[in-house]
Amino acid sequence: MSVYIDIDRCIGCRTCEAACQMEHDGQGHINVHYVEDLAAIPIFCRHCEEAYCTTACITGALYKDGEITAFDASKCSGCGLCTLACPFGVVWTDRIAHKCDLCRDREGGPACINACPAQALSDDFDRAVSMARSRAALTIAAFRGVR
Amino acid sequence: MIRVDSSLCLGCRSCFNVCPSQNIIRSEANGRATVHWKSCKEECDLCVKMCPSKALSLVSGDEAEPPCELSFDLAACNICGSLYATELMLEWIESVLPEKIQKDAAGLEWIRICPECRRNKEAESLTRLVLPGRRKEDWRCSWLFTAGKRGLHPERMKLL
Repeated sequence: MSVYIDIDRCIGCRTCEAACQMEHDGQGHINVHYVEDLAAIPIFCRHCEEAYCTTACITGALYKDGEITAFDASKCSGCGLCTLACPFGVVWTDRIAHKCDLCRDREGGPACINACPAQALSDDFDRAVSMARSRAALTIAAFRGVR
Repeated sequence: MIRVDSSLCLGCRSCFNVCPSQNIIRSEANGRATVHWKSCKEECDLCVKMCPSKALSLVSGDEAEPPCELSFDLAACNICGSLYATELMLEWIESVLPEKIQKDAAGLEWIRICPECRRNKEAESLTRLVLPGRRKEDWRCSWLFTAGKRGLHPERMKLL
């Protein structure tokens, strides 16, 4: 399970950022990035299948737990190597590393999904896959001049 | 006593973060990171256990290990130029990650880019994916608008 985003629905209100920060004592894991005035895109942990942050983590604080890339704060030394190994730049470090834990201790699932007013975030894998397919098809069609 | 192997140390923040008695000080100034190990008499080996490159070791004996200081070059982000890690940390990352993923589809060496710029790159590439779908419904995503609103702005041209 991971959180998926429907970019076409995102209105760039940064509610997910705020919800994540409230859930994690002010240390949020979501960044909404704005590309010119064309799109707003929340960037957060993808819970990669082959997660490079876990490869870089020497102490075993970051590890794969099934589909989730989990984090054990008690083992973290805060070296900052996971921050450098993440291709998406979503892990950050102060005294320890901070990354999306899918709000494991929260009842009712991730706070960002519940807070999103535009229903842009979801944890529905099948829907995310079908959207990604149709998007990819559209990109190819537009490239060839098909309308 | 802690002994530091200067050929192994990466200059990361691990020992500085875990030391319970603040005997290790790390600071960043003028494009260099400096780590200073005070001579430590505590009976604790947290920093030794946590060191990612096994550069620290405990030495027994009474001879006082002198305080040690190492300084490291900071690497600048290839896009924004901010100093975000020591050169050795990046080299270590390059040595542990598989070679074939160190460049993305566009040939960009993403390890040499700071996390902030990595997120921006990701946002840009996702935007490029959704623009064709939006062009049908939203005139603001038309080719003319994207290219023309502020003149031929290079940042916007990249999205076309």
